[in-house]
Amino acid sequence: MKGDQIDTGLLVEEHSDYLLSFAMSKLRDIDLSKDLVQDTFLSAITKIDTFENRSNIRTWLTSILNRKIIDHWRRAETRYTDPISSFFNQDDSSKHWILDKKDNATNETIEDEIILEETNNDLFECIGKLPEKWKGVIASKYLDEKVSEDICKELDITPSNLWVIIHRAKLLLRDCLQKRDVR
Amino acid sequence: MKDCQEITGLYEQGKINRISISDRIAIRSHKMICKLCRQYFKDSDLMDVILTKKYKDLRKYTFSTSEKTKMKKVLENN
Repeated sequence: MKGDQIDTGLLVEEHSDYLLSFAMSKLRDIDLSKDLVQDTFLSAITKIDTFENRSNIRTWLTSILNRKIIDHWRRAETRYTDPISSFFNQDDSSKHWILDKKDNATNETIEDEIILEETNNDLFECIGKLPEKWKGVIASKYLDEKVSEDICKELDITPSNLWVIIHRAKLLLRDCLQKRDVR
Repeated sequence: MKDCQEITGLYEQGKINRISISDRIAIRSHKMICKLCRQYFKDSDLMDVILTKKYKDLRKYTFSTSEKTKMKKVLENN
């Protein structure tokens, strides 16, 4: 597949929302996620010659995005942020950072939300520790809600491979979550 | 007799494919005697629910039509 043969419009139409959900599962920052997805498409069309048709284009795009997320984390580690400037620079000072996320929230009811949110972070962190191929299986199964045959075809695994991966992934996830004491 | 590893594996297989009657009986009888596997079955079902929900939550994040159009334009010019 050459660059001039690829329909960039179709690429955006078919994969942008999926990639955005994927980025959000790792970054939890909508603007940053959108930026990285756009970067991913830019890299993809310049590198389209290196795309091998035997792998699925979505899997390929996801791997580019993943690379960008890791690069972002590396850069972010060394970035200095000034806590005072952000203190005075709130976009909307009438909004509370957590209480306004939920209608009619009080300190009591918000606690459940926080716990839920923490489970979120732990869960996606634990998923992040799984081998790449397993992560692909989890994302296809639960994010894409693909049927088993499609997952197997896309990721080039046999049906028995699929349930073995899911079995092991669940054992590892449970182990990881248990250690974080969030169950 | 199948061990816990095989039984919990069969349980996951059963969620994806149809498994034989004898395998289903093996799971059932093992379930009666094994507390750890009973716990695994519960946890496995719970993880299906949580993972489906968490990933579904993520799908609310989408690009607007104008954002997509803008992105397509940027890509075409590159």
